[in-house]
Amino acid sequence: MDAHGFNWHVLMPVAAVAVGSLAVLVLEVLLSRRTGELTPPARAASERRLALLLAFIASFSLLIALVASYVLLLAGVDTAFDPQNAMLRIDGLSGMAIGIVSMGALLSVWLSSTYLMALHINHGEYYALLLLAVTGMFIALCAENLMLLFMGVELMSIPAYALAAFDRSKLRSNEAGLKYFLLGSFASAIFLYGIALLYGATGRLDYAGLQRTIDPSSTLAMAGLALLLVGFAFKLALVPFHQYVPDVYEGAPTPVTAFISVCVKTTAVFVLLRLLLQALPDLAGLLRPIFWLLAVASIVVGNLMAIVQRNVKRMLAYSSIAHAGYLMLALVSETPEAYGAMIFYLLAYVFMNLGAFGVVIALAARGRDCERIEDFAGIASRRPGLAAVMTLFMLALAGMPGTVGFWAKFHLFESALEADEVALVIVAILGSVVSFYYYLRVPVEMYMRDASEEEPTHASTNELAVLLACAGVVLYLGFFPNARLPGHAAGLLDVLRATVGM
Amino acid sequence: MAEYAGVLIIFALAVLLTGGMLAIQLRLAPKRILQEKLEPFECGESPLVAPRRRYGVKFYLVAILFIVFDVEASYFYPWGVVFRELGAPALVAIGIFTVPLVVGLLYEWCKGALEW
Repeated sequence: MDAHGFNWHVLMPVAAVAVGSLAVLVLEVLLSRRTGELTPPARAASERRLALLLAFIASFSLLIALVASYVLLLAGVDTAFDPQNAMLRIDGLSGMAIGIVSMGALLSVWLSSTYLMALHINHGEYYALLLLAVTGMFIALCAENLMLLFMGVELMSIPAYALAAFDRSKLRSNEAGLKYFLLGSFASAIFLYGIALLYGATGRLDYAGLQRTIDPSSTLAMAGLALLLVGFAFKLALVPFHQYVPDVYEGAPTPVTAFISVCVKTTAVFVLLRLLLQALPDLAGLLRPIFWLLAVASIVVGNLMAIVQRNVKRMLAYSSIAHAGYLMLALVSETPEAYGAMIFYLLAYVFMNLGAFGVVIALAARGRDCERIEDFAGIASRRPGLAAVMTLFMLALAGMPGTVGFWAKFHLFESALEADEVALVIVAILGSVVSFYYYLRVPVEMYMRDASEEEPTHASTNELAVLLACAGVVLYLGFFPNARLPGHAAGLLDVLRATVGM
Repeated sequence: MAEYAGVLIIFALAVLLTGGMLAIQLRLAPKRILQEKLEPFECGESPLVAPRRRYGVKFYLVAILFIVFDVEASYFYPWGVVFRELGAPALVAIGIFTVPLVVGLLYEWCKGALEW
């Protein structure tokens, strides 16, 4: 603490990724200027070296954020940056959220590097935008003020729009970027209008102040809250605010899709959870039917639409809508166990989903994606290892015992049952059963169809490393869901429950 | 309301001054009407052309860069007015605000965005 009472260590994760983003931007532009006079092979080699260097810098800054959040979590820190002025706070919840988001971003960085090289996409801007988006996520996760929350969400979204359109020469990528931008900024405007109405009704923007002053009988406050929830539902990709998801996920470059599907969703869930716990605990009964409806709609529509998809990226987009629906179960149940199970689900989702997208990336031929379901025919004979891990991730996403996906769903459904949400759990279990059909179609295609004539592509070392790490976590947590955290006395599930046990 | 009288007077003076100048130049200025002068001003572009043609993206780039630094300046002014009272924390805050902008300037310079 310095003379003015600021706790600078609270800024550590945000500062690490923000500085990393600026460093990547400047280094790329300073180091790539001299490549003009080189011969083409030497130039390609120097571009590859530069790309690797930038990926290393990006992952270094994400690693600092990860370690910082873990240390703060172990120390049980609960500190505001400025104790006199509620703006930015690190506590168990935001520490955990920063850890999960930085893990997802770290894995996305290493899934990106080879893919970007194959497409000749400019690397500096890519990593800088990715880190800027992560900066915004961290700010949103630590915010305890609606204005700062909005800033964080915007700083997360605007780089994500640009990333979706990053494959500039492809029409579909442009379309994805434009759709994401138009609908996303529309959602942001609704979100901001909700904040304005809440401020008009209560005169407060900080969560603690809102909790004291919000009045459920005030139409103005409730209208503001409704608009706020629409903004969240958009970022979470809940039905009926999901229309943009399939197009954006399909059109965006696959590493970007992986990043958006994992990190943006995790951030939105954590931010919503913090808002509910700290600003709106008295409105639980009022919000429950809304979350119930969103959950049922997302589970039903997501799973049913995923069945008819012929494109794996589009199928995963609809499946991510369904997963967002499952997550809503915890917000309906409203017990610390349910919230703990929801965070466990998010942690599992990071590894399952990044793994699934990672296989799609690793199978991408030079300049052409392997995304139609027919492209997976006979992969097992050409690339048995990739086929095996893809099967693992598909089973995990469906919720097969022995993978982390089973425990994620098990704990979530169990806590919902304990909260007497029987009808909702039945819908969710039926949805999971349906999901087996479309998830298992990928292994069926890989193992039971004849191979096409294409020559096998080679996945790069860093993609394989990411896939191995994801597969390892999916299996390890599948057998030991309450594994002891390093440096921590309690098991993972207990820690997760404790972070929300307020 | 008496304390707002000054604002009202300034407002009236502004209307009088601008209106007066416009009226004087209408009376006194020589008028030679040409085709080019009657066209709406479009920053050097011809206003009436078929759409769907290539146009210089440089105007757009310069406008964006201008807005970035315009907004930056608009944050510097209020800080400059009160920085003695706010002291060191405000200095650090404006530093944190400025450094990314300077890095951005460096980036656009090296990328050649400032070459016309």
